[in-house]
Amino acid sequence: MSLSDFRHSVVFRMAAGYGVLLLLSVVLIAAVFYVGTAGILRSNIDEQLHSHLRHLVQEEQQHGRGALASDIHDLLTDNQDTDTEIYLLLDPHGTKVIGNLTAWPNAAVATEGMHQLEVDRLDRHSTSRLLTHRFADGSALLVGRDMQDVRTLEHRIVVAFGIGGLLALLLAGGGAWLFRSQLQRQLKAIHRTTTEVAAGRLDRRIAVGRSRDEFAIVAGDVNDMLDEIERLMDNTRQVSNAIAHDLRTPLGRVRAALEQALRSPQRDTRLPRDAQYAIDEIDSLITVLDKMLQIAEAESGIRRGSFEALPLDTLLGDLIELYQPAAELRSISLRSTVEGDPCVVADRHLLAGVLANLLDNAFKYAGAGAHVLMTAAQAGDWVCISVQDDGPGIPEPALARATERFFRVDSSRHQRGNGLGLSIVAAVVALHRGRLTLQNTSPGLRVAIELPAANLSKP
Amino acid sequence: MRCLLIEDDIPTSDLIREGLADAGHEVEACHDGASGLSRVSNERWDLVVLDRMLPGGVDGLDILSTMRLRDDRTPVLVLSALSSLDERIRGLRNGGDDYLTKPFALDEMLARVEALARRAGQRPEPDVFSVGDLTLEPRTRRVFRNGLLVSLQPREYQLLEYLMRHQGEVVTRKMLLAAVWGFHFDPETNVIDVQMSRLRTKIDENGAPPLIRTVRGVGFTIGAHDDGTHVPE
Repeated sequence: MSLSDFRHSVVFRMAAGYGVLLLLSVVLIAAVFYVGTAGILRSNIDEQLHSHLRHLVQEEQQHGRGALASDIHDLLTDNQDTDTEIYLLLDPHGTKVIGNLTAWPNAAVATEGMHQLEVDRLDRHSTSRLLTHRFADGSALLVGRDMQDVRTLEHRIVVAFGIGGLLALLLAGGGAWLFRSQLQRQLKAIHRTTTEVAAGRLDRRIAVGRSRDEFAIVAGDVNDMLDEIERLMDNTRQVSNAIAHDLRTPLGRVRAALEQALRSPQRDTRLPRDAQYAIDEIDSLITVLDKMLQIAEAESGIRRGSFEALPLDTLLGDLIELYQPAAELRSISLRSTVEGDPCVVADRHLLAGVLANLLDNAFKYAGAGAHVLMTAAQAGDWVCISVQDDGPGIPEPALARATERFFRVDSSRHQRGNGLGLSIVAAVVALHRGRLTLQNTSPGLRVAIELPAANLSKP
Repeated sequence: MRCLLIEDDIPTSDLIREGLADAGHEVEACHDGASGLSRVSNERWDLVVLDRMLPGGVDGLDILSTMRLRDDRTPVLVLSALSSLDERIRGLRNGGDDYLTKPFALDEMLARVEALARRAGQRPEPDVFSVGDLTLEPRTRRVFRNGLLVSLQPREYQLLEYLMRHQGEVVTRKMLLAAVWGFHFDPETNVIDVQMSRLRTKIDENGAPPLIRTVRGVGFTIGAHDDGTHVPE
């Protein structure tokens, strides 16, 4: 599949644009150069003619016609500029007195001023600039210059510019082609990969060489995006499998219980009891679904909008107050210590829910008589919140898997629970861009949540 | 009370209709958005129970916005299988008075219906709330049982005040946690039950008949009689 039609290619348009720009600059430079050389040459010639004429007319006024004629004769025979100089003096009848023109155009003689005309001189037909002066008696003086050499020069300049322009055009075209093929090679690499990914091959990545150019950056970003997509897809797949297992099992139990009750000879006495059992089982299924949604919500990141600066001493105080009566009932000693005034930017309900979840776990697994300590302290740019109990902890091999969805340690399967609590904790901590560590302290388990500290001085 | 139920799922619709009818309300049900919209617009109701997602082009939220645009202030309870906070907020922003996530316990739905109907009645706040021989004065934050002052911790007082403001209704643990502690989560430990049992021991001192009743699978309710009916003031 080609990247795009030649005319629609942005690369083509850019290359063509730069080509046109290059050509325009060549033309502009040529025009300036031309005016600066050929143009100035012509105006110099005109000035020279005017000054010659002025000089000769003065000579005539001061020393008479004879002196003028002898001046012209001197000029014509001094062997200077014989190729180009033109002089002609006519008497009032239009007859040549002296000069080097064999034939002259009447138009040039009839009117005063500058003319550019074809004249015959030295048996040669040539273009010349002629300046005419008419004397009071009707005689005329003509001073001129043969422009053949200037025209030849101008012609050469134009030819040179033509060749230069053509070369520039070729260079622009070649450069555009090179530019286009370079860009297209890089774009094609991205295009090929994204097409493959779109076709379902999520493991494809764009090859990023050692270069650090814009394409490498875009390719790196696309690769990061693909990594994230692949991770989410894996996650979804894993979760679907877990759901299939962990939701079907209780559904199967409910179905079996109801079916048995219907078939039982004592169905009237069994039905209300089993219906209540079914309702309880379904309620816990609903809880599982709610928790799955909470994880999905946390992972989607949509709640980041509700983050606020949250002082931890009040939050921990409120939680301890909420849990203290339940702790006393179980003879659990529940305490909290807060060092300084740690503050994080977080969603209050999510963070409270996470800490409550850790307290629930400590109460459930550490059991009666346990000591549970909740701490919060700031260390550098991080705030560490921990919940520590002195219960049995988590078996070391299971520690790494404890945050997986539906994962439960075998020894805890008899306890009520769904294996989602720590998954929610992990998802919420990730949402807050924090770090979660589980650590056996033998005895006991220490769960630490590190969150970026809120910088209160610059909100 | 005359209730309109707009719900496309027939079993759910039947369950709600029976529940409301058993509670003594007159219920009309319709099963799609278009007919729901026309019934809402053309008749007067005391309460509308509205499913969030309906077939047939007219969505639950459309009906709700249309009602509120016409300045129809009938209380609306929105039912939805969409439970995320955002959906909840959308439902309430569009003019819903309460939002209940499916699946739900019938008792909770009835409690909310009663609460909505009462709120729509807009009674002025009484100076004293009383249930049986228990009285609570919100202004002085003092509680008396049988004329004797009961000394309560601040949170215990808040719990009791919330219960008494909603007397005769079933109040869920989640509602209490949100109203008293300002937390929106679902603790696994029975923290609310323990707090409630402390409150009970304090107000039911000296063998006084218990006033706070646990409603299995739902929450708590306060009332002088075991059947939890509303106590005349």
